[in-house]
Order: sequence, then C-alpha cells, then structure tokens
Amino acid sequence: MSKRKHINTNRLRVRLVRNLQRARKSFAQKHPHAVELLKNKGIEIGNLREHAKKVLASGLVAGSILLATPTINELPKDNLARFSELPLREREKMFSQSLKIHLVTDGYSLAPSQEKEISDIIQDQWGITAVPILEGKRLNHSYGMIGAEQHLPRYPGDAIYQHAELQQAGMTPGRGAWGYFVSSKNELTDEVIQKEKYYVAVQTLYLPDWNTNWVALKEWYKFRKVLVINPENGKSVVAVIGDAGPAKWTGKHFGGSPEVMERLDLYDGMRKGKVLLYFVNDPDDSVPLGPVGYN
Amino acid sequence: MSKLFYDHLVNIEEIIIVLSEYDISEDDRQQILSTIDETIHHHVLDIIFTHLPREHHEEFLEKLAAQPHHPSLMEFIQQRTDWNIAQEIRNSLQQFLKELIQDIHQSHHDENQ
Repeated sequence: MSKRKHINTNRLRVRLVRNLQRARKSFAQKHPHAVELLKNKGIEIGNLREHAKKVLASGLVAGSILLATPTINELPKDNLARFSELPLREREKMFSQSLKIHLVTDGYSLAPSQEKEISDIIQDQWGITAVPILEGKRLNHSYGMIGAEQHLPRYPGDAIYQHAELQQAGMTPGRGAWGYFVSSKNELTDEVIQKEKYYVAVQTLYLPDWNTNWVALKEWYKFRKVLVINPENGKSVVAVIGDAGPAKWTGKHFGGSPEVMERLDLYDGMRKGKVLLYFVNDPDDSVPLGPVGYN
Repeated sequence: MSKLFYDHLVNIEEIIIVLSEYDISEDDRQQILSTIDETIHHHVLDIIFTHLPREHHEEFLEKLAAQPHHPSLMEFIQQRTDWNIAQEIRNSLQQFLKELIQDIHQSHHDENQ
C-alpha cells in the first residue's frame, strides 16, 4: 500500500492553470511586440522545450549534445529523494561540487589522500569502485589534460561512415596501440562497438617500467576499464584504454574518443579539458561502458 | 527533455521532491510539471523583456530561436543591461516555486477536508 499522501489533483491543476493563464495574460499585455516577434519566428512560449529539441534534432547545433539531463521528466519515486533518485543534472552538479573540494592542486599532482577521498566520493555517489592504483599498476597521472582523438578502425577496411556517431571527427589512419579490435567486420559485436565508442588513450609509453616489462604491461592495460570524470560539470564516462598517447609535447596526458569527449561536454570549443582518470575495479565486468548515471 | 538557457537558474527539483510526497499518477504528474514549466518560461521571458532594452529584443529572439539551450544567451542579455538578470530570475522563480509549494500543500489540505 502506498505511503504517499493524498492530494486533490484537480484542484491543484486548476490552481496551476490559473497561474499559467495569469502569466500568459501578463506577458501578452506587457510585451505585445515580443509575442508578435515570437509568432513570426514560429515559436510558442509553451513549446520552448519542444523547439529546443527540434533545433538539436535538426543538427543546427554543431555537435553539441545538450539533451541528456531531464529537468522535470525524471522524478524521484518517493519522498526521501535520495541522491540516486534525483535528476541526473542535479546528481552531476553535486558530484562536481564534492570533487572540487578535493581537487586543490597547482598542477596535476594529487596527494594519495586526495586520490583516496575522490575514490570514496565516486563509490558513494555512483557505486563504482574506481581507484588510481589497481593490482599494483598506476598511470603517471590520475588527473590531467585530455584532448580529442579520432575514431579508431575496428577491423581492416573499417570506414568512418560505418561508425554510428560523430563521423565528422574522422578516423585515425593507423590502428590503435592494441591493433584492430577484431580481424573482420563479421566479428564485430556490440561489445566491440562499445569499446571503440568509449575508448581513451593513456601514456603507457612513459610508464617508468614500460620498456623493461612491456609484454606483461601491455596485456594488463589492453582494454582496461577506466572512469573518466570532468570535475567541472560532474559528467563521467566509463571507457576502456584503447590506444597509447598523446605525446608529451602536446601538453596533454590523455586522449578521448569522440564519444567520450562529447559525453564529458568537451567535444566543442577547445576540445580538451582537465579530467580525473581512475581504473575501474570491475572483476565481474558488471559496470557498463558509456556515460555514468544513464543506466 | 531538452535543455534551455536558463535551466541552471531554476531549482525545479524542489517541486519534484515535494510532488513525490503525494500520490499522483504519472500522467497527472507530467501534466502538472508541464504546466509549471510553461509558467516558468513566461516568467523568465517577462523578466528578460522587461529589463533588456527594446532595441535588442529582436536579436535576442533570433538567438533564442537558433539556440534555445545556449548559455551565451544569458551573457548576451547581461552585457546589454545594468540589471543583474540572472539574480532577478533566480529571485523571482524562487518566490514562484515557494508559492507553488504552498499550492501543492493546500491541495493536500483540500483533499482532507
């Protein structure tokens, strides 16, 4: 039996509609020229979101995806309104605020205590076990600059038009650091498609023990699952390590596939930004690739 | 649900949380939220057209039509007025949401009478 309180929905609706009618009337009286201008542009105030959706769908906004966060569509199911029940945008905002408290650094160096606190925040807020050191392995940076990469060819003969999204990003002329994902198009699976969509490049070549232990390290890092977080907006993506790079001279520490960069809101403009990159401890392979919070 | 340029100024979650306390069908809840959303659009645009000098109205609407989600719309407005529009929108909507919450609770009392 529901524990929720009863409400006279009809009366509430009448009150709300009355409010709306007052707002409409007041607007029309105060700004008749604006009503006319809006009409000329084919916009109804009541359909503003619908209009925004159409604009995005029509592709007028080059590459920037701003759909995502439902502001009023995604509602908590009970009155406790726990974090997991809040709209994604709100969760990301809170996550970002929590991270920023621990991201006080002059450059890209984080103290072990900072890294640990960030791990705890990730665990608490998203339920993902993400760590800077896993099985004794760590990258040179857990916090650094990520730049936009191109798509990777998944099999010999793969072409950019065969990638579902963000084709304008192009495809690298060569294979990724681990070679092709599969040896032919026939072997392409949803899992492989997801891996290429959500891949990152990390600087394995600059690891202190890479040259002496690269055979074992390569196996360990190949398609290793990581969590990439944009602390500015709290958007996070689970990805795999799919390539090596970027070179030191670029000033960047990581590379992100077009989809990773887009989900982090780093696809437009400078196409780079500071991110946290942690290993995902996921022995059961239960954490799906892609943006966090949508599953 | 698509984003609009002023969404960050509206704490609609307050309403969402309050509504979640009540036994409301999904259809009713969507309808209620849609009505609230539309009322908010009117409030926001009212504030903008009240404070933005008239000569910029058409340009603003062109930008709104082209990129209704874009944060630069707030910058466009802010650069053309001395008024703190963002704060004005925040304050006005805070008051509006407060009244809405009272309306919601009142509808609960009505049901119990």
